[in-house]
Amino acid sequence: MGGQDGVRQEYGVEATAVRPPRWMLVVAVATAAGAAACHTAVAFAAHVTGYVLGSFATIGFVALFAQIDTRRQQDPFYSRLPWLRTLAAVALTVGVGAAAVHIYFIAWELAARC
Amino acid sequence: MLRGIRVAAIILALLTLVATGAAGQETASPANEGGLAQLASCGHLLVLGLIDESGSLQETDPDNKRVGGLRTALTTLATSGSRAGETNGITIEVLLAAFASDYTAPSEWTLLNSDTLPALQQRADNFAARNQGIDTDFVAALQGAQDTLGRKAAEVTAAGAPRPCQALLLFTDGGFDLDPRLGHDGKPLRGKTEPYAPDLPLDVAGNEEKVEEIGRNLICGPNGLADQLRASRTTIIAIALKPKPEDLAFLEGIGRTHASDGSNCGKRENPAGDYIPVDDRGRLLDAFQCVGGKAAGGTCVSPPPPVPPCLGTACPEGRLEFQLDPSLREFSLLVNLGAPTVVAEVAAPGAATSLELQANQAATAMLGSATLSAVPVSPLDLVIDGELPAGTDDWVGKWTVTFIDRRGQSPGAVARSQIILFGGLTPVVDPLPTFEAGEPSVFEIRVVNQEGSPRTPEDFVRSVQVSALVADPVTGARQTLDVVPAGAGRYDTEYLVPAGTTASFLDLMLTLDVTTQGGVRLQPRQQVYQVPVRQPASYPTLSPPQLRLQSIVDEGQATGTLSITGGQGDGGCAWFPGAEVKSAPDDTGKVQVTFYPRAVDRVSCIEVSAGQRRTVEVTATVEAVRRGTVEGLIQASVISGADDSTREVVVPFSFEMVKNPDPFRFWLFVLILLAGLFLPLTALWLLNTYLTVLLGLPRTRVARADVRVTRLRAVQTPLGEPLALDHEQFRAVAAGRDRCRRFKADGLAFKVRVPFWPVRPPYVQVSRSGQDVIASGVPRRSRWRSSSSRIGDLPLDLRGTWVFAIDRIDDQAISGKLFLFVSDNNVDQDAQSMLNDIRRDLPTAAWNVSEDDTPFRWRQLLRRLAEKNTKK
Repeated sequence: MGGQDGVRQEYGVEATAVRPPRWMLVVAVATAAGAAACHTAVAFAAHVTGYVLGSFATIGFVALFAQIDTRRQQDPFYSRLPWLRTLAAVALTVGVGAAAVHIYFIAWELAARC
Repeated sequence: MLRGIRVAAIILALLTLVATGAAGQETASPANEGGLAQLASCGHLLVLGLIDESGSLQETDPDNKRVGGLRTALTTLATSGSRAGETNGITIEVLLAAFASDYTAPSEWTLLNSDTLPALQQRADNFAARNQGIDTDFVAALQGAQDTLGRKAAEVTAAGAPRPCQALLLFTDGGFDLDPRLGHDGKPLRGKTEPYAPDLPLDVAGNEEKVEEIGRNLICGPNGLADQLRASRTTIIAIALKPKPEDLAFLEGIGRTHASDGSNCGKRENPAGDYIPVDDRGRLLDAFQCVGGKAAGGTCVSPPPPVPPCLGTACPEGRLEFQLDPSLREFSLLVNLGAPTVVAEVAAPGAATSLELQANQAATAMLGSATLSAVPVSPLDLVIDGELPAGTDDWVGKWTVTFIDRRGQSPGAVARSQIILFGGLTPVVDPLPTFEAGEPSVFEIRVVNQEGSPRTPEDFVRSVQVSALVADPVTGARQTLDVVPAGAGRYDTEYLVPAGTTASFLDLMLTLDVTTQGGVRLQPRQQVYQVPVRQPASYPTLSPPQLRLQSIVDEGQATGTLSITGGQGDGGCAWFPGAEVKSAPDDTGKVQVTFYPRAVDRVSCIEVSAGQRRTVEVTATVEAVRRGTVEGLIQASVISGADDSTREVVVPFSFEMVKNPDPFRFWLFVLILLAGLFLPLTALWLLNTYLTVLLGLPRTRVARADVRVTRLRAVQTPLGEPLALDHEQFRAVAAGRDRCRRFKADGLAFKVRVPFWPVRPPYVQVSRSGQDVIASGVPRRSRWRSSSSRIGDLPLDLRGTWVFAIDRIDDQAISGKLFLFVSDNNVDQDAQSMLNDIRRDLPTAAWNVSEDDTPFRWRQLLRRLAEKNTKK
């Protein structure tokens, strides 16, 4: 699913090209963007949501992408898309950066409330 | 034409002088009596300069006049303040702090005198760059000031010294101003709440006005910050540059308690401070000089109109005059020369010569018997301090300052001046009168000069008034006494101590009000005496009459000692039914006062024989330590040793509390921040470490060959032949192993590593015990892992990489074992391709390692030595 698209003929056998799990990266980019977007909201809950999206969600999907992609690279029919790694790095940087700003406000609020 | 302008200026100057009196008119209001009047009598004065650093200063004070003002205030305090007290002078300590959204004290308390003045002026200069802050938060400012002053006062009193007087010199522009946290497009920039309004985030439009209102109430409400500062005996003097119309009353109230529009800031009137609004920033130096002079006990005289400097030689139109009479002891003159080429010529009545002062030039000289010292405070401004000796009168009379442009290079210049006068007379009572409940007390007040010699002011001033007032600290009752002149600077008065007085002491306040011959009403000089109220002789007495407990810093208790001395006859006894707290900072909670020995009723009464002295430990415990002062009354009952009758005595007590910023909250903040940043990364790293394994090992083949890398960059077999590999030399790298995290083969150890930063791919680390390894494959910092040369990084399937394990290095060649990893479905082609890479890359890498890696050479040397020893 998602990793097999395109068909080619070799040695008389129908073989399917294996590609990186792009949908995971799309989700990671979306969660990172969501984390950044949460900065426009004021409520404490928005900071918590932004933090979870930017940290656990983005990092999780990027890590999952990296794991699956590394395994798929063992396949002889693996079709490399080099720009995906760059996109993963960008998503991760945006997500973690947004999460860091969110956690600053969360820490400020929690410390003040105690 | 020019002459016409000068004549007009002279006429204008004369008219103004006539209108304001010969030397102007005193600007201080009657409200100044009290705090400011008492500052000059302090032995130890703490002055906290609290300077606004908000970004609005870039508009309201673009040329940083406040810095010159601050230098002026410091100079005035240093040059005149050191002699402001009685004969022994006064110790002044200064700290400069800044505020905007927060309070910052970038320096330490510094003793102020002529030696430390340059360093303090340098600190003042640093405030030129302090105009970038957001907000003008007076709550943060006054809380910070309260904490700083309280901490310093606690430090002074802890050393056993009397409590110092405190003055807060507050400079601000505009008013209370919190900026909305919204960008130019109206979107929130960041969320922030003030601690005193946690439910009103400032990134919601409109909240800032609500938070400002809460802040104003916190400062000016009942027992608010302004009252708490006054309760800790802090005199607040506020200078406001271009104050916002809506904050005029607020700022005036901070300084004077009662604003002109009838509103109040707090309830306490003492110690009374002052408020100086400045609409023209060109007059900021005057305002600061006024503040410095007032803090030193001086009287600020309204400045005469500016004059045009004389061109070439002295002329009447460039001259300013001021009159000094024998009631004075000192003056401080601020002159603005108007242009760098202008000089100020100061002439005294008893001096044959005059003193010429230039811009940016310090000078000290005698004019007659007066000592003059000039200190530059800005390129064109000088503060001239004149010390007037008490022993002679040759300095009495008309003084002149003539501004002269010797070279005539600045015809359009305008010179200005302002003078502060320091009165030299003080009302004193010596010895202290005796106050006994129900008995009249007749005593004498004398007026003395700074040397303590009696003077008769009626002989040399326009008017003089001595007044006396007695205040009961327990009931708050005040009674003004009739003071009758008795000749030669002596005044008689009488006070009937009320029979029902329970206070352990009464405040006797003497005030001397002098109007000079020139018509200047000097700042009233006030002396306050705490006069103990004696019980009838048969009753025990308590001392001290006012108990100041040691301060509480962060935690603990406030403690002190009361003494009971037995009365005549059988001595008597005393007990303490309780204590009443009159004022305490908000949220302090219950304040409990206990006594040891525990004498709380007649049964547990502390017995004393005639003349015997016993002590009682007094301990105050608060529920929560907050910043501020706690004041209260200790109720005591004493029983006469003669007739067993009881009297009530009330002893006022007070103590300071100083609270550090809550370290728990700070560290909690740091902990949450760090945990929030590292928790997800750590969790992902652990997960990756668990999931990542060596992949496809059964389909990877390896070949091993002994090789030499020569100086000529050739890769050869040990026999010197070119390196070549055939299909047969490749075998399975780890038969039967798959999805493992580590394995060993041919002396090499392979181990999976997962970088902490999840974007970086996992890799295989290869090492060989005791020997250095060079590897191709996944580079970490560079293609060649030569920094330690003990390990190499490879991809998880190892294919398409090679490893060279170094065995020996000599002058001619580097020997070692070469491992090539290839895919089992393309052995020959991969091997050929890798051999080409090896011939190209390995020599450079190997020789780089051997030449650059010093530790590696040491290890080689040690190995050779070990081999030699083994052979022997």
